[in-house]
Amino acid sequence: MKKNIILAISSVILLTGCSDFLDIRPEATLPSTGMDYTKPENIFLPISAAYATMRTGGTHAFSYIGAFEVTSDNADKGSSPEDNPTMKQLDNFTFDPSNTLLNELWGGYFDVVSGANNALYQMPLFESALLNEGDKAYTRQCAGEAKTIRAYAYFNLVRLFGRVPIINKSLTSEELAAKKQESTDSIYRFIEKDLSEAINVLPETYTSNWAGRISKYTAMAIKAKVHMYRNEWDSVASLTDRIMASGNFDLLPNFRKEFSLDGKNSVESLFEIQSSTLGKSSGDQTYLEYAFVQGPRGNSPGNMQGWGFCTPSTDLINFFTARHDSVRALTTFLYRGTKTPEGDSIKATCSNLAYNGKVYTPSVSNKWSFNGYGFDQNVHIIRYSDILLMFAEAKVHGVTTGNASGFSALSAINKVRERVKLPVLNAVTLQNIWDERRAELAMEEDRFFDLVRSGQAATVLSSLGFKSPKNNIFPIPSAQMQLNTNLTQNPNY
Amino acid sequence: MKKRTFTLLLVALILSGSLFAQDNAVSGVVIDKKTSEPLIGATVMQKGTSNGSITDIDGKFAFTIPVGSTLLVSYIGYNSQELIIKDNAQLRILLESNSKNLEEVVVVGYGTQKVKDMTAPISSVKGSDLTKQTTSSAMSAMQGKMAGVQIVNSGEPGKGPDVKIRGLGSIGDYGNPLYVVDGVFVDNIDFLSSGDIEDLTVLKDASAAAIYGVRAANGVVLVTTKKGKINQTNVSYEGYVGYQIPVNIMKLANKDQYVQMLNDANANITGYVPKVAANYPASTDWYSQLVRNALTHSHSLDISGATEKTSYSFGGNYYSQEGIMNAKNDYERYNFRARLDQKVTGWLNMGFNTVVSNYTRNIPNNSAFFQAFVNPPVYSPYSNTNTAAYPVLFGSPQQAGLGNQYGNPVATAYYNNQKEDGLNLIFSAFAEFILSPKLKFRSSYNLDYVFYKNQNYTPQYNVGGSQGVLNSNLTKRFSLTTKQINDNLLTYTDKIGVNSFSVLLGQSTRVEKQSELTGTAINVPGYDDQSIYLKNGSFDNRYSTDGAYRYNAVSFFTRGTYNYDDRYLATLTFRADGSSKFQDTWGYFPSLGLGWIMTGESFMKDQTLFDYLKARASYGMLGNDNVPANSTVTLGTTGANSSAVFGNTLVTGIGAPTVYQNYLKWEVVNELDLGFDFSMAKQKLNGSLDYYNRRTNNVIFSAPIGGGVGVAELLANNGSVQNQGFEFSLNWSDKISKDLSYNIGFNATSISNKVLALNGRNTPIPGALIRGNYATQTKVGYPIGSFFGYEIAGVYASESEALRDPVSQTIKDAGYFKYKDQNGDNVIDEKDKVYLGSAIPKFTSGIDFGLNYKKLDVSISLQGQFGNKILNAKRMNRDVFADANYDLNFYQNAWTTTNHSSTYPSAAAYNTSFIQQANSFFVEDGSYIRIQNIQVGYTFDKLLGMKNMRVYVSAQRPFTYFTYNGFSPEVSGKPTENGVDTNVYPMQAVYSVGLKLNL
Repeated sequence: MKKNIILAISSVILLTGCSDFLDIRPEATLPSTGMDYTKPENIFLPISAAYATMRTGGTHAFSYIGAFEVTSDNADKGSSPEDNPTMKQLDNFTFDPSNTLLNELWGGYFDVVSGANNALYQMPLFESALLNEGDKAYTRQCAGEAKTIRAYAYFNLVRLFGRVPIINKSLTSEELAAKKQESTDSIYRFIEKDLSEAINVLPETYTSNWAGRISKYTAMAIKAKVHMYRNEWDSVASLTDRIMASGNFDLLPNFRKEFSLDGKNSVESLFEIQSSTLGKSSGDQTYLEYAFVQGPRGNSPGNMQGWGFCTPSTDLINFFTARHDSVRALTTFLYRGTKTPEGDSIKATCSNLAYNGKVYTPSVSNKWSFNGYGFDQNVHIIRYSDILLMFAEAKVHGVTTGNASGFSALSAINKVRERVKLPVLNAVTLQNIWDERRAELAMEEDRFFDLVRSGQAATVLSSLGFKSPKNNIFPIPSAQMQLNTNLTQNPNY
Repeated sequence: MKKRTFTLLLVALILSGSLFAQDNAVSGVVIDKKTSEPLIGATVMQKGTSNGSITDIDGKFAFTIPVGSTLLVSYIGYNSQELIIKDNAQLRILLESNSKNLEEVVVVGYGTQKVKDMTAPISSVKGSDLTKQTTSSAMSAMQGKMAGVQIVNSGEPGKGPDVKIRGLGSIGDYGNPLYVVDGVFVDNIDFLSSGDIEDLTVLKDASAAAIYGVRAANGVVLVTTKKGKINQTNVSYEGYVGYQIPVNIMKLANKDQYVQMLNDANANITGYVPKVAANYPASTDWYSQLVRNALTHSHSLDISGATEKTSYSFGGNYYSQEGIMNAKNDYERYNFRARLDQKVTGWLNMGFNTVVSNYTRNIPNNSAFFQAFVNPPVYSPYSNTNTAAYPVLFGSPQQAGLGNQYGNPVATAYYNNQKEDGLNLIFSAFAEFILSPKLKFRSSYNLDYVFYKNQNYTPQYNVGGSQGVLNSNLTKRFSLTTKQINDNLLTYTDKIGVNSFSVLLGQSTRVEKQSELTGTAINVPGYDDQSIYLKNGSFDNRYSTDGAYRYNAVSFFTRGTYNYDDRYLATLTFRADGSSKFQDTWGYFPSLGLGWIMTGESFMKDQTLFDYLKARASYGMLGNDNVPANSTVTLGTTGANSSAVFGNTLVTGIGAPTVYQNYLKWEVVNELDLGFDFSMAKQKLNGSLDYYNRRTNNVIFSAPIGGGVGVAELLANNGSVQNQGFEFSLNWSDKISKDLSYNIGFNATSISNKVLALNGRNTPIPGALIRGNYATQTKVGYPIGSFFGYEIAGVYASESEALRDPVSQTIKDAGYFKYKDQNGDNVIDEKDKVYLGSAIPKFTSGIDFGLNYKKLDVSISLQGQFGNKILNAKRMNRDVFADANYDLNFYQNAWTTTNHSSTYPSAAAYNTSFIQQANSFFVEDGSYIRIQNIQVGYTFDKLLGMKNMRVYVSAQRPFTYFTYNGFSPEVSGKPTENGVDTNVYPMQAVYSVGLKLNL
């Protein structure tokens, strides 16, 4: 029994030493918080991660082209007739809540929201730990980038799904599973607040090594577009006017160059999602498959072909022909059985008549070891021509403010037309602007929601299966409704 | 840690020194006269005194006794023996058995116990029973052998089985039992050969398993490797050569059938041009292209023996199995083991044991089986006209006009080159101090060392479409896991009158570490195996990464056993475990077991029905810390996926999920067991019956969470689960004449699995996301990972019938399922999805039959499981593979205008997502019954100077009956998405001839 006593005593001694033995930080990991907040070079780490959330398959690739463009009169599903019925459902409006592409978009854009939320949580920790005023100001500037990213994600979410939950901080899983949807008005107020705050702190420009980084004008461009979707034309006019008056932006003289790799983050660019192979031929996913999934189907060799989805519709091709819009047509459509000015032959045996020419990437630029078509193509979100056309539309709505740039509705739309060798207009109507938007921004994932917001969708898309008002928004994905029973389905789904 | 061990050692040394300073020491060993097995727990006493000892695990004893006194050796079930002590001799005492089965000794946690004294249902099998089956892993051979143990095997070479003991208690990926090999905790015993194993014990209830509280929640499998036997030198060889034949190969539609179905399916699609079968170059049966017959063989050599002071055992085993996939896939294993136990002095025993297992596995690409299922049969595996293909002229599906989602399955299997080389080492060493005849202290060090190197090489090749690689690529991974345990045990056994008791006090410290390094390179030339190294690849585009985990644990435990007059038994255990994996560090696991040997009572003396009858009851708690070590805190995310790109520059970033991680506590099982053991008809009939009720609380698993926090799922103590049922086993053995004996064994287990709570969640835990719907859900009131979906009421015979139906559903047309409107609201929606079954069988059973006639022996075993479901997910993929092939069963039964099936949809409907979701069509019955093994052997005695030689022929899994439309009804998976069949490696029958020699 003496031994037992010794054992018991030694156990007690041991137990006190145990807490260190049992309290160990996990190997090969980084803490989520507690990075060195006193080092200014660490400020951008969480911001960089927030940017990365936009470079995902769920946000800007296959499902993105499906919901934003294939749904419109610009594009068909593409590929072979039997291929991918899920995408086909988006093309002919037969989708239901179980459509997986819609669930990918939901998950993808909410991951962007989370990335921004994490960055916004970390910035004040830096601000209070740093002593230098310049560094403190930089944390506020970076917070502006995160807010812009969050606002952009919510703008897409509200357009896609209408009422969604607003998540603006870290949650427990129980809170997440019980989160209720907000009205679209609340969501738009949330977006506008983020953008206003961002505009106040963001710089006008960055040095050239930060190509594509969110500036004050990026936030203003997104905000202008948000206001356009709300028919708040005064705000549209004043924001676009400020962008135009800044002198930082212009149209590239050559339309085709804007869609080449040389045109990445050009003077025309307000907001692009960055995609790059970093000059390598294999490795980490620093790129998007946005161009690849739209690449010509069955066009060997391997690096000159893609899946061939989201092909230009006959309606779009006819629209261009009727307008004699030949400069833009040459870049917008990549026909099979032709040779590109850059020297690539697109085989006549490809599955589809034409492919999206705006993502065309010459073979010399595709260096990925396999399936690398267009991995270096950025996704254009807002270009300067969009700014000009938003301005023009606001002015046609009779807005009198926003005159710093000296543009009028007519001069703005004509600037877009002159670049592509179209005759200038002498008068401008809303329909002129909408048609110009269609031609200028074709295959750039603007059209479907442009039709919805301008009220044209019911007539233009009815022959494709669109039902108004049901299809103005997509259904809440059923997988999400199973995860959060407080979500309610959109009308008629 | 070291300090305390040292203190105990010191105490032990001092005590032993004083005790063994006396004269007249007597020591020896007690052996079963017939079997030469050591008898553990035999009483060796100085007659007429309380001076004595109990034999240890090797049958040995040592104490002091005056010269000339009488030594009484007794053991229940054996005739007692007396002898006079003459001097300090080493004694070898042979006892003769006076009965059969009940005196067996089984290995229990940190010790051994007589079956008779047990308060727990423990099942044990001998290694010699396991080697009867031609399987690579000992656990595979256990299939159907033991009540309460469910095994799901795979036909893939070198792939271990899924093992579940008493149902499914854990929802996470870690609901596996704990394996303890000679004191070493391991994750599985696939590295062992059945020939290495002396015996294998399964601890099922809390009374037995709670001593391993830390990891015992899903049962414990104790494995003892072979030992030398007293005064018996054994040199033996055992081996077999087997021929594997794939069985139950699925039939698919041929070219004509395929084209007919495809045209039916697309008849109403605008722009569809009907296909013409004659335009296609071939009609290929992809499955038969993918399988082959293959060889397997195994050879074991054992050398063992013992003297009074030393026992040794050495062994080697070679096992080889070719895969039945017609590609590079095989498994090869060399095992060596050595054990030495030495009685150093009267008060010190020392020993060590080591098992080294080397293996090489060429891992098949199972997705080829799925490709074979979907690929239309319309082109040839090889084609001389496919000039784009290199280096081998494989046929390309794109040549036949098929989309890029198709790849040639034969090429997929061929261009796969994945290889794993591993070394598993188990080492344990112990020192045992005999402080007094009744008190022993044992300290041991145990090491599990697992190293493997995995390499995956894809050569440069092209077939067509997306199937090809412009630059060869190579990935290599090196991984090292070490688990070290130091156990310190103090045991005291005594008998006072009719009160026998024992006390165990123990302490254990564990440190587990894993680390791995992965590198990739491209353009690695594939001349031969010697050239496949990262350094030979392109200098650019090389990547490397590493990872690691570590965790520490400390445990204190105790067990007391008490036996009153061989009538009343009690076992009490308690274990406290601290683990670095949980924020709530400490878990406490008590258990109590009671037994009543009713046949020992005077009122039972007159009855003749039972030779032996024992009632048992136990209750206790068991823990599970087998969860990922790096999971309790929110971690930063790094790498390219967390880094922004600006232009062509990557800017380093660190992200983090924005969900608060849940506070992790121990997963704890509360288990009740009530049972009887009985023996009847002069011990010819033995059996046991148990009721078990296991309730797992704070079940830890990752559950999907909604979008918005940057992670898709989260680990937490999410619920509680109940498993209950009955276990029954019955064995009859009889000797009809001197020449003829036989035995029949039967075991059966019922399992009722039910989720009791999901900790306040009002939503089910979804799993298996297929076609936008969670096909499996873990829901309160239902088994874990049950299938939910629409119940099919019928198939609409015509459009007008569909239109007349008042119930509305998304598509109503001829050939479409009419889903059952469960809630009667005339709308088919989410609310009409109902429970469609679960992958957990309701009932499992096994039957063994054996017969010996003179030197001929015959054995047959059967096993089966019933009441489980399988989701045929292979069929649920037609939104991606709309022009895929059809299985023959679908072709034969599909709804057509002339064949109005009420259970199968039309080909057109089959292509729609509305049909392609979980419904009772895709959820099929997974019951099966199988002849597991048939064996006929003949033993030659004293042949060519050998002791004996047995030759046998055996058929492993020659026949399986099931109705499921797939290769095999054995479909494993994560608990929450169990039984989802996407691509299963087929099963094989093994026909073999074998030989066992005893020199």
